[in-house]
Amino acid sequence: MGKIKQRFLFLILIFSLGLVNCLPSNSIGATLFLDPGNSGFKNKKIYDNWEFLGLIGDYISLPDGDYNLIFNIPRSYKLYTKISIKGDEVKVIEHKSRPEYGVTTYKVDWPKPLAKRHAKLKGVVSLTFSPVKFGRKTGVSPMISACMAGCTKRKVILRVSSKPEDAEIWIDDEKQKFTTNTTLSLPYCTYEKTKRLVLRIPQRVNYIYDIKLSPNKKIEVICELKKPSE
Amino acid sequence: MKSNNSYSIAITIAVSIISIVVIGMIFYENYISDIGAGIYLEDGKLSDAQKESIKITLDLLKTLMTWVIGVIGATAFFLKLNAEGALSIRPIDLMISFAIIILSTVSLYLGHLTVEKIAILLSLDQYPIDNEKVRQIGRFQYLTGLSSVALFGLHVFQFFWARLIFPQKNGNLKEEV
Repeated sequence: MGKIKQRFLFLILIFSLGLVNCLPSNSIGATLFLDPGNSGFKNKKIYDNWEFLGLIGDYISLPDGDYNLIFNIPRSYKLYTKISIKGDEVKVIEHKSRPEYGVTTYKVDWPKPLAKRHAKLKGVVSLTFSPVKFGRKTGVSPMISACMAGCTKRKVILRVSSKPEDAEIWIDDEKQKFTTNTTLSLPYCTYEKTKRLVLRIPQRVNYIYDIKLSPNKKIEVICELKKPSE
Repeated sequence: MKSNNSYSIAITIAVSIISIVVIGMIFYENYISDIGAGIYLEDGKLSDAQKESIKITLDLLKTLMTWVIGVIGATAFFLKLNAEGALSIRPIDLMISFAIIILSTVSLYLGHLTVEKIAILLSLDQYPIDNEKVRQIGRFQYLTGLSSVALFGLHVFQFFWARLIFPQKNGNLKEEV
């Protein structure tokens, strides 16, 4: 009876710490290899609706659903690729390029990214990006002004452990100086609700987690970064 | 007419420089010097050695801030003394004085910013002296502060040296002394 009580208390303790385990769940639809091909986009930061996912050249696991992959390219342009994942089927629904605000615009030719099964790695789908060709100048995109906002800082305490150790820690899209395993004080502005945590080791599947922000909350992330074919 | 023109140009340049410095300060504070994640203090507490190093750093920051306030005062006083005396003030003297005051103001701003960042980092349970941003801002404060002190020294030297070599043109130093 005493042992059961101890285990029950241990479970309560784990949940109160906000322990997060990143072992793969059933909701994962596909493991994507973001293949730079000959595009020259290797190691560019890539986002899903501006939520950081990793770098081009990484492996990422995503649950079923639609995703709007975005990354920046030279000449102040962004490339958008809308994909749909269902099981291990990946379809490219839409792709387009867009200039940033207040920059010179060009006629842009960007072939549709290609989604196909990885030749060597079982269960992995390659999304191969093609290079962009810039044509003649077409004008200037409209300008908008950025606004500045003050910010009151709060923190969460984030314990990050990974297997293997020494994984890069990315918070939102910024690479931290620290690697796993470590305990971080993570500041945030009070208006922010979540922050995106990405753990990354090249040639392994990125771990992606949205940290729910609450003052002085202790969060423990324990994660195994697997090889794409595992 | 010519002096009116020169006055307008000088004021326009001075206002432009001050505006650029102020905009730069706001931009730096809001976008570059922002605090990020850092190693969480063990049990959220500082060790005695860490407390001591923070105290020493704050003392250094305050010393340099006092120095640059002194330099601003000394520059203004130096100008006043010469304007009231028989020694003529040349445009170059004013330009150097202006540069000294700008450097001192930037140093003062950076000192204030460093102290503020240290306070924020402590409230986030991070050790501020190891923080890259704090070290960077502190280094800039040190460099701008010492530059203003050195420039003030150079200014005093060149002011009197010019009057020793060309007493007729710039005012006779010996007669005044």
